[in-house]
Amino acid sequence: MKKNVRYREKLVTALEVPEDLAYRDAILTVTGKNLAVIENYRGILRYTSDEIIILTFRGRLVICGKHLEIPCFTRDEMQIRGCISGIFLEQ
Amino acid sequence: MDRFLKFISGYVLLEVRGEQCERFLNLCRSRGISIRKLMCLKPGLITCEMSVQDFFGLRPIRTKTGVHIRVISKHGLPFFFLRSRKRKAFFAGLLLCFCIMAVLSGKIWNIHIEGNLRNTTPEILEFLSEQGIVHGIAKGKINCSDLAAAVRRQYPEITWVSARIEGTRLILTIQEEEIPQESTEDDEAPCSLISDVDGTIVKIITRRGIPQVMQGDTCKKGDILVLGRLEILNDSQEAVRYEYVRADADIYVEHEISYYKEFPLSYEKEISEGETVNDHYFRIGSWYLATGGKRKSGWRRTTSETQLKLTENLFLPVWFGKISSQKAQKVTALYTKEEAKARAVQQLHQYEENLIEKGLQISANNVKIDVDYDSCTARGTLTVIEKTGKESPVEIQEQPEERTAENG
Repeated sequence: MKKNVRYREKLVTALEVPEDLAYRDAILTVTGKNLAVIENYRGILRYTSDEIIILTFRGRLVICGKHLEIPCFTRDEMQIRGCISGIFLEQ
Repeated sequence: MDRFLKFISGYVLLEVRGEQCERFLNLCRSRGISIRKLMCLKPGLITCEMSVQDFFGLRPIRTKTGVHIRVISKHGLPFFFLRSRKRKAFFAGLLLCFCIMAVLSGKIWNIHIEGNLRNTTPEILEFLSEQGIVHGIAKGKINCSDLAAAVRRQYPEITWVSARIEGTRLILTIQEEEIPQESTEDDEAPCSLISDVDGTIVKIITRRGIPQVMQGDTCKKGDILVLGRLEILNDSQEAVRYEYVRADADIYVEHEISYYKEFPLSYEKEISEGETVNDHYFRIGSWYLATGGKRKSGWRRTTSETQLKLTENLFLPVWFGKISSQKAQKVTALYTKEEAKARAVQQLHQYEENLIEKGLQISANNVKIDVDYDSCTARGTLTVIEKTGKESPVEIQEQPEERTAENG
């Protein structure tokens, strides 16, 4: 299994394929303290105005804050607006 | 643009209540339903916005998740039409608007002419109106190729015309060419060049004819400078025959012109008092509608007027204007010595510029400015170099008799 992973990594490096496409990694872009954009996510596990737990292909992403809103929620990306106080990655 | 499209297609603001709100969101996402302005009011209660089309696809998701969906408000054009369905006059107006637009879009509202230098746009527009091509003509009545041919026929200096219709615009693209001046018989008639001024020859370059003067010679008005008759001589330097040509030369003559200008030192000056009062007016034909009252005499007024036009060449008989009025008083003032001299110098410069525009070169300036107690006088002479050479018919002489053995 480990051998397979290594070969895959080598192939990705050789072909210069972006890693977010190759491993389906989530992309998180944070602008200041009020805006976060998440791409490549699987779904929402929990949504309250203080906490949003997002399921990605590699684990969970927890965004904490106050008055959290989602101005845009589509298949490809999700925007989170509000007073963001913390972002955690959980395996 | 996004907001406009949202308004056109219509959208609803929803309240979703239930224990499986997150599952509801995930199912929406997997089915490609876009959600906007998602807010959590309290656990198990969210509000969101979505398009009308997506809203009608929520039924299976609602059944699966067991949430309660309530429409809070409806926005956009479809709901506006629904609300306004009883306003018959509104729809009639809308229909009329579309009809008017459809009718008006079938006509020409802008005639644009480009590439014309020698023939002015109003001149070509006048010709087009004679041909029946005016603003407001139906597009179907215009035959572009016939129109282009008619323009070419009317204006021979136009070498190429393209007429095309773009939307409600008729665009005429023109290419003009300089026509070489046709030489007429009169142009080839033999002539001499005579002087039209008294002066000294500064420069003479003869291309055709026999020069009668040289550089430095003086000449008087009417003197022949270049003769248009050529004498063909034989070996004994006797004239065998005469050839007549059209004399051609560049002759520059230096001469003096007198200058005299006088103006009084007293003059009337307007002194403005108070602030400028701006009034506006609107004019249709000869009918005026103006703001502000009538101003009494003693006000200086400046009027600027703008004519309303729909397109670049389609003017309406409607004008907007602005009248700036300022109270002014006329007083008699006197030029100081320096001011009078400066004014006299300015007038002289203006005179010199006019001479230069006419093609004269000024080689010397002998003008003196005198200021006495009531007037300022500038008098003197200006030495100028002027191109001369007036065409004058050459006197045709009898051809000399050919020498034979009999007449010696």
